[in-house]
Amino acid sequence: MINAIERLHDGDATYLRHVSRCLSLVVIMLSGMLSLKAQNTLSIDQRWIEVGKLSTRFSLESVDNLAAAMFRQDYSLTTLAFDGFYNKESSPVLLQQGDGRYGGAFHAESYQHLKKKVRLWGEAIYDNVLKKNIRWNETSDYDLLYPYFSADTIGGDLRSETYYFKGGYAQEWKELVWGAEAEYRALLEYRNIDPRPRNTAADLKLKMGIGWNFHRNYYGVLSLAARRYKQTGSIAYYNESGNCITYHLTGLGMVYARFSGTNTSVAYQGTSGGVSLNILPENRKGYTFLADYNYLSYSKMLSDLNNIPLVEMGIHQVDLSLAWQDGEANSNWGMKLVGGITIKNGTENLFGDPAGNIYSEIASADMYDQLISRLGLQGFYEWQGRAEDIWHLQPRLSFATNSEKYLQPARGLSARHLIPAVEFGWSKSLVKTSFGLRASAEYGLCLQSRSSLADCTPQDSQYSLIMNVMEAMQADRLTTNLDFRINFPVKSKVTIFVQGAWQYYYYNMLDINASAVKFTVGVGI
Amino acid sequence: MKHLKSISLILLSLLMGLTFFSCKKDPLVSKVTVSCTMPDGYSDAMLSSIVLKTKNVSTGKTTSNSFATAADNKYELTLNEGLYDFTLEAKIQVELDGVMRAVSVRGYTESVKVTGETCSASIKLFIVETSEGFVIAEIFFTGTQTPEGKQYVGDTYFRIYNNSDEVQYADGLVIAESDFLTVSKYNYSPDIMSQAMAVSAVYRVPGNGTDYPVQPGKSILICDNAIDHRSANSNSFDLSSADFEWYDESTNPNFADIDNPAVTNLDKIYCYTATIWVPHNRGFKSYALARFKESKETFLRDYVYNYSYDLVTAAGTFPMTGDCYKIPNEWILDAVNLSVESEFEWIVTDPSLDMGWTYCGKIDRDQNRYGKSVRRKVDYTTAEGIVKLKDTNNSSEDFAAEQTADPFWFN
Repeated sequence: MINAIERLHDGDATYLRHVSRCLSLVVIMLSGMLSLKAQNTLSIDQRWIEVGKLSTRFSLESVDNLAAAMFRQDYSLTTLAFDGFYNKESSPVLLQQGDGRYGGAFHAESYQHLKKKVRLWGEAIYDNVLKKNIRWNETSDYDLLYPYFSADTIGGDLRSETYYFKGGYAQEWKELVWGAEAEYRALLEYRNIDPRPRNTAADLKLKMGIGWNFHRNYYGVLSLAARRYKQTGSIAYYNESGNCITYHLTGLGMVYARFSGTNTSVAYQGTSGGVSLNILPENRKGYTFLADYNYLSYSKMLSDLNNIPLVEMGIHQVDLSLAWQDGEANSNWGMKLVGGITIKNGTENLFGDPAGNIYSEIASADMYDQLISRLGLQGFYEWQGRAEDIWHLQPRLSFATNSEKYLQPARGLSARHLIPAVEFGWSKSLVKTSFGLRASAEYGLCLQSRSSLADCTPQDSQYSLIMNVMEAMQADRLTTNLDFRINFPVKSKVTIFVQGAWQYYYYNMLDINASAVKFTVGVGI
Repeated sequence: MKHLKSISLILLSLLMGLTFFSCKKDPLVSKVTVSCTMPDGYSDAMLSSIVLKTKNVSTGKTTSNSFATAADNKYELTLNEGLYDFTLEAKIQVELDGVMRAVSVRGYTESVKVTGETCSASIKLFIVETSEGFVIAEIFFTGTQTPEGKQYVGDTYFRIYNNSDEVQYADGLVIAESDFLTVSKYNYSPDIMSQAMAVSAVYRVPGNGTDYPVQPGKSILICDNAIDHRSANSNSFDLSSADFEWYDESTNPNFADIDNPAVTNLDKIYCYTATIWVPHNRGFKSYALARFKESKETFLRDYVYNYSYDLVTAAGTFPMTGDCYKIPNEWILDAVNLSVESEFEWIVTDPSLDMGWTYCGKIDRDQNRYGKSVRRKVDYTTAEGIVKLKDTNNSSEDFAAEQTADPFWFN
């Protein structure tokens, strides 16, 4: 797989065709799982309802632990689905992410009780998206690489193709459970008019975990994760009369001035390692505890200048979760306290005299920091009525902070939000069909915000960017979701389903509203 | 629920403790001692009105620092770690005709590495000698674009201006283009920059010494092709009334030059190309105006410059050699360094000739550069109405960059 990453970064255009063939292979393998005998007698429709119940996912929702996957769901289930989606913002919430996207995806996923104590799961996704009107960002993987993007003032639409595969295995042996999982994502993004970025990214994640039954039905699970990430990007101009400036952004409207211009070829390389500890009950009743730490570092290099490492980023991420869940025959309830911190430390490397095209590193400066924290309390109550219908209510109250700082010139943005939210769900089984409905609303109320932007004037070319980042961070925001799903059982083992989702969000400070719709047709097996 | 409460408190404490990670370090700073080497013959002079400008190469930010006179001509300042260019301007008291007068001195040093708690830099100062004769008033090197958006060449020009109070003769004036690029710095060996300028295109105004008089405040226009370019490109100019043109006998019929017999051709002394010479249209080279003190034959025989340097690439280090000609600095009347901000690495003249650079376009291949020139600023106008152009041997200050080209801006 590592070789595969290298090949992708060599710009081998045929590589994505190989990936496509792999995708087909995974689909065939997943289809092969259809022949596996399920370990239970529930119809596929009933299994979907069980798996979709909030009480099934509430305590494990934020658990990303291999061995814990052993207890993820009580039933085998395979789904194949086609998605179509469309999202349009009245104007971009974040310039660097554009003001809309539309496209389609194919999604295959399976979780199988291979034997009584063996679980096997896999997932394959291909999506093809057109991202609209991206500004100030010609780099892919926004969330991962923020704020160290290459950018220009022109931007435009970006065509994006993603190939994603995941496969995992978990087994219970006496008092132990263990598991392993591999995940691979290949990304290609490009534009066919000037400026023409062409980014290829490869992202490989490996996880393994082991757990032991240390007390009654409680398991302690330890898992380790490793990741390797690469992205190469270049911006071409076919217009013979010239280029525009390629900026290398360093956060809060700052750029690495020395190398801004025509250094358009860049490479990002990152590695990460993580450890996760869970304590969880096998039957999801009782306390569930999660502690997860991950450290990711990456560097951005200029390919045209012998791969000098322009900037480096270190990202610490800690997630903690404590849940308690209980229930009776027809009702379940629980509470969960979740918290997390993400700390980004960005370093700019400084280079000496370029004589002979040798840029020797002479010093480095820790210029950029970001601290994101969140703390939330949520609860749920779920009950099953006599008429085969299941209801749930999930209130949530969170507190989130986001703070970014740049050292010189001293710049800082921060915001604190109080976020109340509520979700309501209902599903019902009938003789020949079943359906579900879910509605939620969330309001992010900005309690406090601060801005300090030294040396920033409206004449600066990056002024519009930093103003946009500030307003998006500090705005109040309302988000509402409405989902529905209808199942049409064909046989006891096969269900065709139709799913729709609609989202509306509004940012008051930016006066931006947006709608997103997603429509899915699939089959559950 | 008691357990839940206790564990919740522990969870909160852990989260609060983790914010410790976000503490920010201060930037590393260095105390820099700048030593000044006085101009030859003035080693005992004391500097006054001292202004030291530092440009952080990484950020592009320039700061200005003023200093009081120091007995040892050493000045201290504190800077963040990084790579810097230093420019110092000051005055010294010298005796001229028995009278003590203040004379401007300047110095420039680039690529000063500022790291560690302390570091040092030295700047060699020179007396500012403003030209009283010919200066380069305007260089149009970018060319124009046709209405269809295509590049158009052949209409580049130099405007040479008599900045003195006396009649000057253009006969023998030399226009030269640097061999080195301001966007690629190498450690050329031997380093001759303090004595001469490496050039690879040299053209000279013909004449017997008094054939081409130029009145004070007047100028001559030297262009590539002295024709009316508007017939081929409506965005270009009529250069058929130019004073001189340069003409090349091309070895490739696909790149033939155009000769207007009505306009005098420059005497071609040397050019690196076997076809036609066009000034670097992205602005990576520098230009000098000189007057030879040797014959053409002697120059071509005795002023060859052979140099070597190391080319470092991802594939390894390759020893390279090159050759061109060199014009001694004392022959040079005026020099102008050109570059673009995004690519600039060094100036390719001695700072005493030109310690700055000017430009058309902010980046390489800037599509906004076409039809623009660099034009020397007006300093003042005499009582007689003669315009004096600014000439402080610093193109960054003397020239207005990215001006709409007009070959007849000056008379």
